[in-house]
Amino acid sequence: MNEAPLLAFENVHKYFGETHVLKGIDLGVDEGELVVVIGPSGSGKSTLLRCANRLEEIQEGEIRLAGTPLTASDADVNRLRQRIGMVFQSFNLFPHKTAAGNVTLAPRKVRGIADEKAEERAETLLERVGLSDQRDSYPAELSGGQQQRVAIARALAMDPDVMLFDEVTSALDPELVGEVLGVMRDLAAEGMTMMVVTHEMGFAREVADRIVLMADGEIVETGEPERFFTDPETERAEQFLSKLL
Amino acid sequence: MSETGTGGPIASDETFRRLGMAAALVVALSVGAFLALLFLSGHVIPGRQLINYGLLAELAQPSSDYYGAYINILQVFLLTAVMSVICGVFVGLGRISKTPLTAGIARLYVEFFRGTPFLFQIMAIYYGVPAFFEPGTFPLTNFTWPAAIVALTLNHAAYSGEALRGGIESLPTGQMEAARSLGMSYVQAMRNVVLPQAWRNAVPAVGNDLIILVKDTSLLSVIAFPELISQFQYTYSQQFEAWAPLVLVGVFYLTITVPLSALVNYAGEVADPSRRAEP
Amino acid sequence: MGGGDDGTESETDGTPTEAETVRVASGIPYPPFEMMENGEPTGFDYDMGAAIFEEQMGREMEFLDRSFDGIISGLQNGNYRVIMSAMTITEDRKENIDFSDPYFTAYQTVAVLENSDISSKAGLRGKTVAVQKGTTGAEAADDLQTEFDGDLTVSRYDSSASAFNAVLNNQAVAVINDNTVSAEYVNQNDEELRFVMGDGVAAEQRDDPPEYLTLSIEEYGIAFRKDDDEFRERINEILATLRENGTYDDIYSTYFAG
Repeated sequence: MNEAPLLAFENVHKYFGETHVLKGIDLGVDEGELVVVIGPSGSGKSTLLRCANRLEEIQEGEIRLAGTPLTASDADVNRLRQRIGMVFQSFNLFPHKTAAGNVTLAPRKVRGIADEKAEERAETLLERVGLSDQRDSYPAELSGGQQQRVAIARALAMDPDVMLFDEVTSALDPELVGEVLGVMRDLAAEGMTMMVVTHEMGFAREVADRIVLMADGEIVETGEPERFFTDPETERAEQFLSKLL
Repeated sequence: MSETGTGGPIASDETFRRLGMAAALVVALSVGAFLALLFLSGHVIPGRQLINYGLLAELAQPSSDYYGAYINILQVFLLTAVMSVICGVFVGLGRISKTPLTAGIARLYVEFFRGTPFLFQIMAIYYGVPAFFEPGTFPLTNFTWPAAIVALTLNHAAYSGEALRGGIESLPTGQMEAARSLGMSYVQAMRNVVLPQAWRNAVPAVGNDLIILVKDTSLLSVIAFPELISQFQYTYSQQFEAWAPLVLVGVFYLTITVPLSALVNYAGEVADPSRRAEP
Repeated sequence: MGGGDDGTESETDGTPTEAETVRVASGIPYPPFEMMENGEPTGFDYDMGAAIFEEQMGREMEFLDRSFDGIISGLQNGNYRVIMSAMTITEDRKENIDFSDPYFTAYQTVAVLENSDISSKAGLRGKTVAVQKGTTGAEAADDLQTEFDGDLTVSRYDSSASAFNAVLNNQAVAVINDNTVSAEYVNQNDEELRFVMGDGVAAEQRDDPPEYLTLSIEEYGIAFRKDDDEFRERINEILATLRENGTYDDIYSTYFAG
């Protein structure tokens, strides 16, 4: 790809009070690319993801979506967020809505799409995540894995240009991790641009186009998964990988 | 050691259960004895009839002024219940606002209306507001009703606002974040995601406040609002009979508060917390 | 003077004992009959009480503030010995309590805004009048309501001040209340308030009726329990004495003009 990256981080700095959590991040995610961000806890990888959706504000630098600066003070945040889907560790489904209700809410309220059309679309999306039989279930009636798949369908309902996944399997029982990763695998295969923060190294190695290792608020190393996992360039990466074994 | 205690100062569960039952029984028997004495006093103590049943029947007749008073408090209650809950939503939203000015004003509002007695507020409005006008020039000639409605609304909006704030703050922040991440504006997220859930959390507290609202109408007697306590005072000063009007007034209040309390419990069950997602 | 009879042993040792303290209940404030001044009760009733119980009987008086609308049951329950609270002698009340001989005559009057167009009793038809709860003024208003076939609204306030405020605040067109109490308010606010003038019941029953419209005449009495006859008769004697020796006139002129 010769064009500029779809999602670009440029010298991004973020502070929580006195704590410097992102120390000048430069990173680009190309269209159709799947970037997996890994690193020890506290490395700033989740914060980086949240900054990309303006759930956190940055203090320095810029983040652009298809060339549009989304961190500018006059950016139309609501419009930009529609183009960036986000899936959370804790699902954050709306408990007062059914699975279908969760998926249709934003298209109806934000886009003004007619109920019937939104329902049809929800049907398709829930089928895509393997939950067409659960459309009328409330979140509390679903397993964690099912809830997370509804959350993915909900994010997809806004037809985002890029999807952000923030440790989406960390809160799941081990036997439920697979179904969520499966959905993500399918998405990647369909060419969705994705930025994934995860501890699932198997998934990272198998699906990622590129691995980004973060530590202490900095990017330590990036690279092709195969090369990164077998022959890390930096000592920090080697250390991190050795602890996983 | 399967026992709950090892001879400590606090009673064992079984003893505690029995003590509780005994205490409840004593209370129930005392109340029963009191009521029997009250209602059957003429038979129990010769010549000492506490409830003048003739007067009670007279006061309970359809033409009695007590019904007018009852209708009055029902009307003022229904009106201010709706208004105070609506205003309470705005107070609650103000309290959780990230804008310091809005949050500050909302906070002052709540502090004032919760921090001063309702009696003070109703007097400040009914006697204080017309004092801004020259004698005889105050334009609202029947200020009792507006004063009552405004005072009850302002006071109870503070309480339902705080109840709603509690309901909002008890929601995981992820709810707002998820809604915003889908591109909803703050207002859309509040309206469609946060408030419907916060409302369910707030139902017991708001319902409780509505019951207090019914009882607060009694304080309107100080502004010559024709309500039940004034009616009692009137009968009492005319007839020197306490219990006949007291029984009637008590029954009237309970005909509002008991169904209301049942409604609140029902609403609380409908707002089933088990529907809330685990984090 | 009825001195020297039973129950005045205190004259021997000089200091009255607790048991001889006379507890007097009064619905304060109801100026000028009873009100607080610098934290102490005062007023016509208070001074009369002091003259009767302290000067004439040599006892201590305890002047208690009690809500007027429950004051009679307190007497019946024995919470105090007598009521001195500008209380009108009525047949209704006599069913429950006894009264001394009248010690004051009051008229129920109608006070309105100075610029009011009400000039007679008939002018009150269809209007709202303010009264103090439990007073004879409230009863006079009730009677008037009956006379008007219900075409009169009666707003009942906790105090006479609130009732007058209601008129000043346009919540009622008139206050129906005792002439003496109303005169206090009218004199204090003579720019804003006035009496409705004209003949009334006083003209039918008295030789020297007042100029203002009178809805009814009442006589005030000291209230006693039904079983307290001996004490009541003793007080009646003292009341006569006070009228004879000029004490009554002194007290009257302290609180009332004319």
